[in-house]
Amino acid sequence: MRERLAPGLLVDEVEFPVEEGKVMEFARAVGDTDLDTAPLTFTAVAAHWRDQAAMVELLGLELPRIVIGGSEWEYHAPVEIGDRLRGRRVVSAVEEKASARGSMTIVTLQTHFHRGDGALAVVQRDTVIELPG
Amino acid sequence: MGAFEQLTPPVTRTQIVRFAGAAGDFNPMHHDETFAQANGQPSVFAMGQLTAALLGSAVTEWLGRCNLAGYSVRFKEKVWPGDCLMLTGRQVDERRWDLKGVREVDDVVVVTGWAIVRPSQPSPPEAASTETDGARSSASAIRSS
Repeated sequence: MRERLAPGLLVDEVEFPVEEGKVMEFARAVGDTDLDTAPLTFTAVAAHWRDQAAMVELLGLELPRIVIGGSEWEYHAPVEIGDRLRGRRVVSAVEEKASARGSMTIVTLQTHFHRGDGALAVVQRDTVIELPG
Repeated sequence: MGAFEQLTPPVTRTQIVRFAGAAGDFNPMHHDETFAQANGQPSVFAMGQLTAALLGSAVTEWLGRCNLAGYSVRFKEKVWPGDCLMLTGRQVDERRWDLKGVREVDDVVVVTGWAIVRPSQPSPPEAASTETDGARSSASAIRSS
């Protein structure tokens, strides 16, 4: 499994609507009062359309040792209620790091989200860390 | 150089559950107290994405969502039910703000990050007001600049 873990590996592709109820639900959960466009981290809702267990298996990581180190978003075009987003998630970097407790693996997953009109809307990068076993 | 700070209300289990449903993160560590304790945690705790979204809301309020070109967070420590977070932003140059979230109860930094605002735009030409889809056209103008 693990040998597949390399930059360029396609993790998954999703497509989903940006629904008013979902934007409201997300915004209210985090005290965001600007409902004109989707909240800054709204692309997290792609999790509803993804199979995270399959992602972990594809990458060959051990789930109990995984933590999320951080996330990053680039904003290219606004995301509004009524848009559809297509997200393509790939492995963009893999790094092995030695620590006192053993080796850990740092994987960067990058998703390009395009709107229905084809415009690139958001690029999200997540850092997934597999701690030493 | 600018700065902002904002204290959140206490994070609650209800809020964590609400965010789990909103974002689609159903890792039981964040909503199932029995599971969390069986796995060595004192209780459920907030998912990193909830912390990221709380800080994102503060950034939106102070800097304006449409002005942002980028936003980044690094998770440092767990956020527990009952924690109030002091969220701060400090402008370090024309476009970059450094961000931090600190647990009020013990001053521990739980999240760090940055936000990048778009380069300031010259006043739009008169013709722009005749566009039918103003929001979209100004956004693409920003994007192509």
